[in-house]
Amino acid sequence: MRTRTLSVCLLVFLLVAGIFIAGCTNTSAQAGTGVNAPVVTQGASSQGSAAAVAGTGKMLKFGELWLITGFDPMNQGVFITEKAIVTESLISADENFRLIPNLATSWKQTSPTTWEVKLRDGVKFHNGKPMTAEEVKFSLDRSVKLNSANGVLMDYKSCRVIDPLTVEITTNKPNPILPEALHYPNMAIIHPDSLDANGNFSKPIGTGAMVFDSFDAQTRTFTVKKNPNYWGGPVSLEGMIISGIPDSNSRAMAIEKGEVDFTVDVPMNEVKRIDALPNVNVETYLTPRVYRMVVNFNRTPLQDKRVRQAISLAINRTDIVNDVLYGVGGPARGIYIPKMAWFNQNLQQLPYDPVKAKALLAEAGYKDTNGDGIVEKDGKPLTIDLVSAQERPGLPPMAEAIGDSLRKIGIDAKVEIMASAASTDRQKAGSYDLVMSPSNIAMVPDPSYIMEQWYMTGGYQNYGKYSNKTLDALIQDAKETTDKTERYRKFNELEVYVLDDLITIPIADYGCTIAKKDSVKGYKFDPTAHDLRMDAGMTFTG
Amino acid sequence: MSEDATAIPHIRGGTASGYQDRSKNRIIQEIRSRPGFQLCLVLLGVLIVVAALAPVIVPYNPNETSLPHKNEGPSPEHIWGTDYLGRDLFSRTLCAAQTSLIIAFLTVGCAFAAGTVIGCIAAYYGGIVDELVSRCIDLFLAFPGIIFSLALLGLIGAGILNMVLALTLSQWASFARLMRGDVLAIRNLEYVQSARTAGLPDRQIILRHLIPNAIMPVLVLATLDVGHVILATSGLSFLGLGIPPGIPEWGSMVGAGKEFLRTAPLNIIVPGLAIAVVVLLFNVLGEGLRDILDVHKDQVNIA
Repeated sequence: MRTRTLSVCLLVFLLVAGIFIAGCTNTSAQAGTGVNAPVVTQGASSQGSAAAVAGTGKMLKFGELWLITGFDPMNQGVFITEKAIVTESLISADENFRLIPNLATSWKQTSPTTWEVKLRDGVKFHNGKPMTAEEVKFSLDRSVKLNSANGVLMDYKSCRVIDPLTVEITTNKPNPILPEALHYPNMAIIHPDSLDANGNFSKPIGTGAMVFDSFDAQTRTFTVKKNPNYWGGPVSLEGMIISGIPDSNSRAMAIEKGEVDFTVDVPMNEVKRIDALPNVNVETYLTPRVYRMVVNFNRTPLQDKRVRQAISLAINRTDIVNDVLYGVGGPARGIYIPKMAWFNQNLQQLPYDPVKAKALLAEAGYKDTNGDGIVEKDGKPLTIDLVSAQERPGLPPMAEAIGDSLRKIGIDAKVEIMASAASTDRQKAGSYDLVMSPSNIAMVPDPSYIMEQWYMTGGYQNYGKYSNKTLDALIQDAKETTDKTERYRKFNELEVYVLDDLITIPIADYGCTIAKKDSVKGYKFDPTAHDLRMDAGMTFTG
Repeated sequence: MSEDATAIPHIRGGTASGYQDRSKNRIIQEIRSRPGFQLCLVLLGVLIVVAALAPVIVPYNPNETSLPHKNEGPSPEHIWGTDYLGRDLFSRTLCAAQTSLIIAFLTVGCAFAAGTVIGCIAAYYGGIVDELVSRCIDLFLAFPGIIFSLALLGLIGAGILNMVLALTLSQWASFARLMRGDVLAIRNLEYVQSARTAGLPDRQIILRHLIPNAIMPVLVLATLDVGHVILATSGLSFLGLGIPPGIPEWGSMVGAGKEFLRTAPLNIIVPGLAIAVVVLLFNVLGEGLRDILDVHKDQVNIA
C-alpha cells in the first residue's frame, strides 16, 4: 500500500506541476481538435531556426498572434503578408482612418459607376519589374475570383487598363466607397510571377518594404528580408522571422525570455509586469474593433427597448475596462472608436445606473413576485442566454462579469463560453439572447461598412435579425452620399439613432498591446491594420 | 437459502479467501490498526458534509463579482483571497467541491450499477451474450476514455448531467470487465450449482449469490474511480468543455485562472490544491479498502 500511495502522491504532484507548466506552453488543446496538434512542437523548433539565423544579422523575431497557414495575400495569407509589409494596397489610411495615397496617387469618380485610379510611377515589384496597370488589373481580378466577398466589398464589375499608369474600375451599382474598399489587404497588388506556370500561387511578389524569403511549412515560420529598392525610401529593418504563437501566455514568456523581439497581445493582466522588465516595453493602442453584445430580436423580452436599456445600464463599463481589460481598451462611447474621422464626438460613455435599470425592468412589467431575486412577467422569469467565444482573452471574463451584473438587476443570466466557431454557429442559428462579439468595425474605413452589415434588414452580420424600414432608408441615403462632410454628418446622426435604440450593446473599445524590446525603435502603430502592421521605418539593433 | 450459500467458502485464484467469511469484527479490527485510513475517513466525512452544505455555509455568493476587488490576497474578509473577477475563492472552492462530488458519485454510481449488471449477465449466461458484451467492453476499453468523453461533450454540449453521461460511458466498461471475470470464477462453484439445482430462478441466483460474492473488487475499483472521475471532470472543464461558467468547478477555475499564473497565482493554486487533496483522499480510501478487504492487487486497476 505504501508504494502505491507514494506513487499516487507523486502523480498528483505532477498534475499540479502540470497546471503551472500549462501556462508556459502552447495550450492549443483548448480548441479540442487534432488540427492544431503541430502547434505544440512548433514553438520550440521555430525558436531553434530563429536562433540559427539571428547570428547573421539584425533580423527581428516576431511572435505573431495566429499560426501562419499560408502566404497568399488573396487567400489565407492575407493578414501575414499585410503584417509583414510584403504586400501593399493601392490606397492607405491615416491614423484617423482617412484615405491617403499609397500605390495609387489619386482617384476620382468619373461616372456613377466608374472610378479612375492613377498609379504611382517608379514603383518596382520585388522581382525588379515595374508596377503598371496590368498588374493592378491582374491582382483585383484575382482577388475577386478567389473570394467573392471581395467582389461584394468593391461591388466590382471590371477593371480596364487605360494607360500604363491608369486603370478604370467599374462597379455594378454606384459605390461611393470603392477607394475605401481598395484599402482592404485582400486587394493587395502582386506581380503575376507570384504564380507558377500552372497558375498556382508560389510566393508573394509584392511592392512592400519586405521581400518574401522563405516559408517553412514544418515550423510555419515565415521569413522576410528588407527590400533595398523600396519605393518609399530606405528601409532600416534588416528582416523578420515570423512565427505564430497562438497562446497569449506563451507570447508573454517568449518576449520575457528573449525568444522573440516583438510580439502582440500579451495577457492584459501582465502588461504592467512585462513593461517593468528590463529591456522590454509594452505599448497599448486602440484598434478598429469593439466589444459589443449582439441582441436577438426574435426573443420577446429583448424586443422591448426598456429591457435592452436596462441591460446596458446594468453594465459598469469603467470597471470592466479597468479590472477585466486592465486598461487595455476604453469604455465604449459609440459603435465606432473616437479616433475615427466620422466618430460622433458629442457622444458620452454609455451610462451605468443599476437603480434606473431595475426601474426600467419594472416599468416593462418585470417584477420579482416570488422573492427569488429574479424578475418575472406573467409568472415567467426573465432569463438571458449570454454566449461568448473563448478565443479573445478579454471575452470570457467580460461575459462572466456582465452575467453577474445582469443577475444583480434581477435577470437570470446564463453565461455560455465556447469556441468561436461554435458561437458563430449559435448566432447564425439564432439560439441565443445575447452574444459577446469583438467585432472589427473598419475592414473598410468607412462608417457605412458596419451600419449596413449590422443594422440593415438582411445585413450580412445582422445576426439579431433587426429590421426597421426607417433606419434602412436612412442608412441607404447616408451610404449614397458622396460629399465626405455631409456623409459623416449623416452617419453621426445614425450613430446616435442606433445607440438610442440599443440595437447592439457596445461595451468597450478593443485595445491591442505591443510588447517589444527596447532596442526596437521608432515603431509606428497603424490603427487601420488588422491587429497590427509592422513598420518599415523602425530600427532594430539586436 | 442465501445464508446457506454464503456459509460455503469458495475457491478463487487457487487460494481460499472468500470475503463473506470475514466477520465484521475482523474488518473493524483492520480499520483500527490503520490510523492513516481512519484520518482519511474522517476527512472524507468532513468533505462530504461541507460539500453537501456548501451553498448554505459559504460566506459569499460564489458567483458574485466585485471587479475593483479582483485578485486580492488572503484577508479576514476573503480567507483564500479573491479571483480575477473579485469573487471569493473560498466560497467558490467549497461550492465547486459540491459540483465535483455530485458528478463523481453520480458517474461512479451509474458506471458501477451498469457495469455490475452487464458484467454479471454476460458471465452468467455465457455464449453469444457474453461474446457480444465482451466485444463491446473491448471496444470501450480500447478507446481512450478522456478522448471519448471530450468528443461526446463536444457533441452534446456542456452541463452536469451531460458530463455524467460522457464519463459514465467511458467508465462502465472497466467495471463490467472486472465483474464478468469475478462472476466467471464463481459461477460453476458448488453453491451456485446447488442453487440452480434447487430451481432458483436466474434473477435470484444473480442477485443473491453471484453479485454479493463477486462485488468486493468492483467496490474497491469504484472507490478508486471516484478520484479518477474527479480528475477527469476537472480536466474536461479545464479545456472549457463540460461545466457552464455559472457553476463553480475546480477544473474551469484553473482553466480561467491560468491567464493570471504570474500576477495572481492564487487563482490556480487554490482550486489546484483542492483537486490534489480530494483526489488523494479518495485514492487513500480505495487503497485502504483494498488492503482491508484483501482484494488481489492485480485485480483492481483503474482504466
